[in-house]
This record gives sequence, structure tokens and C-alpha cells, in this order.
Amino acid sequence: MNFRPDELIFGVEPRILRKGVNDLDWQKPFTATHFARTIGAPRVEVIPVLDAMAQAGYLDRIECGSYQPTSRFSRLGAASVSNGLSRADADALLLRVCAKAESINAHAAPHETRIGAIVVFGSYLGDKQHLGDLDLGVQLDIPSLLLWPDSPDPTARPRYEQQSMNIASTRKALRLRKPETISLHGFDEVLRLGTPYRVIFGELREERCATNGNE
Amino acid sequence: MLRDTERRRAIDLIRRLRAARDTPTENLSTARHERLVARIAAIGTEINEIAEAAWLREFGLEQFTVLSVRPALRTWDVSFMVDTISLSQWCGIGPLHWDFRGSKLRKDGLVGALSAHVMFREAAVARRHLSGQWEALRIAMEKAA
Repeated sequence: MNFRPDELIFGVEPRILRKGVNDLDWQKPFTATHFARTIGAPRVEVIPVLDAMAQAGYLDRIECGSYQPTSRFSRLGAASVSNGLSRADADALLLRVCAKAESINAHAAPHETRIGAIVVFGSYLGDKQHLGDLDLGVQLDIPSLLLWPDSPDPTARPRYEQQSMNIASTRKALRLRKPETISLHGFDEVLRLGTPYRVIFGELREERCATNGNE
Repeated sequence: MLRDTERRRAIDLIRRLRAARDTPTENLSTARHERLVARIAAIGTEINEIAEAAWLREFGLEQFTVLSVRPALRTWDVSFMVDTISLSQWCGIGPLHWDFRGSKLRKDGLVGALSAHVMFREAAVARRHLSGQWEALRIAMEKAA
């Protein structure tokens, strides 16, 4: 889901709405006062927004004036806010992402995370000339299994933390400082969505798809 | 912005609050200490209610509204989400000041985790609507006490 920065969603500026949604627990019911605090608006202004969201199927009204998020609610939190990009820009961006992945793999030490494969999915595979954002799935090549931080081995925790940071920085580098344009997902997430995809970098290794991208 | 009765009541409450806070607590029994703490909290709540009522009446401003405040003669401004509105006096004398506390906005304009505290008698104040538009509020300077 992509929102343009200048459009209002239920009367709310999209980044403000997304922040309000992301600060909530999507599994639990919440009150208008709670949402007012996360979104930054008086309660009286928030109630019409919540009612409109309930009418659109993002929330269910429950007793005591509370609201229960539906399965669609998380889509608001995951939405990107950008003016989108043209297909030509998306092609150029894909080339840059692949170049970055090659650079990461070339400079990675033996114990560091590498990029196993990158797939593109979503609106890029359609016919549209103007895309909302560029949806990428990444399969990381983690050299060894993550160790639990509570392992009796005294070096386990620093190694675990180092490896976690390394995975996070690898994923961050792939986004090329364009968080509103590139939407990066784990490859297992792409498989769960059951959406068509196309490999643009590396080779997929099916046996790893259950662990990669879940860091 | 405050009515005369509200101003008089607020000044009286602030004096009482100051007196309660200045009460020596070393020799107080636990029960008396608890009563003192409860009295301080009750006075603070009543001051907040007076201030919040004034802002609600004048501008429809309530808790969780996002404001940008530039106090008079200052070059800085602070944008924050209002948590409490109160009234205070410097050292218990002089004119009343509006006393806002809340959460600062981050650089991207969204509500962050850092706390904000701003006091002013006169200021350029703007409020943000959910559409992201800012609306300037015309604040009259509070009368001297």
C-alpha cells in the first residue's frame, strides 16, 4: 500500500496516521484516548477518524467505546508514503540495488552476512508505468546460526549482538537511503504472501528461506 | 484569557501549593506525609483544570493537541504534543505564566519520546491539525497578578 504525501487518509496526513497506527499493538483493542496520544490530536478530533476507519473495515467497534484492529489494520502501518516512481526510475534503482548487493558481498568478511538473493515483486511485475514503491524480498546468506544470548559460552552474547547488528546494517545498506521508495521484506515473507516474484540477484536457496529475513 | 475569578483562584492555589511544598517533612508521621502528598496532588490538579478550561474555552485546545510555541522575545520555538497545561509564577510572585508539558516532536514532525516543558506569558502559538496544516492562535498576554 502506498500513500502520496499530499493526500489525506481519513482526513489525516498519511505519515501522522501511519505513526499512530505503528505505535499501537495491532493484536489488542484500544480506546480513542489511546489513539489520540499516539497520533497527537485531541480525542474529539480522533473519534471521527476511528469511525471512518471502522467503516472502511480497518477496525471493529467493540463494547466500552474500544476498537479492535482487523487484519487490514496492519496494512496502514506498513504503507509507504511517497510520490511513487516511474518504471524507468525503478529499473535504474534495481540496478543500483544489485550493484550495492555485489559491493556488500565483495567486501564482507568470512564471518559477515552476505546477500544470497534478491527478488522483486508487487507492482513492478505489473503493467503500470508509475509504481507506488519498489517491493524487494531479500534472502540473506548468514555464515553461521545465530547463538542464543543466554548460552553458557561467554563469547556467545557479543557474537550474537554483533551478528544481529551486521544483519540489520546489511539490510539497511540495501535500501540505499530511500526508505520511502524501496520496501524491503524477508524472502520468507514473500513466500507467505504467495505473490509472484522475479529473481534479480543471486540464486535462491530454498532450505534457508525459513530463517532469513527474520532478524 | 483567564477570567478574574479563575485568576484569583489560580493565584490562591499556587500560594497554597508553594506553602505545602515548603512544609518540612522530616518530623511528619507516614500518615501525615501521605496526606500532604495527596494535598499537593489535589492542588496541582485543580490548577491544571483551571488552565485547561481556559484553553478549551478560547481555542478548543485539549490534551494531545500538537502545538508550536515561540515565547515572546525568544528566538527558539518548541513543537510538542500537549500532555498537561498548568499555571505558575516565578518564585510565587509576579504575573501568571502558562506552563505546558508534553512530548517533543521529532525532526520528521511526528511525536517523539523526549519530554517538552515551556513556560510563557506571551507567545506565538500555532496548533497542528490532523491534516498536517498549522493554524496560528492569537494569544493575549496574561494580566499581571
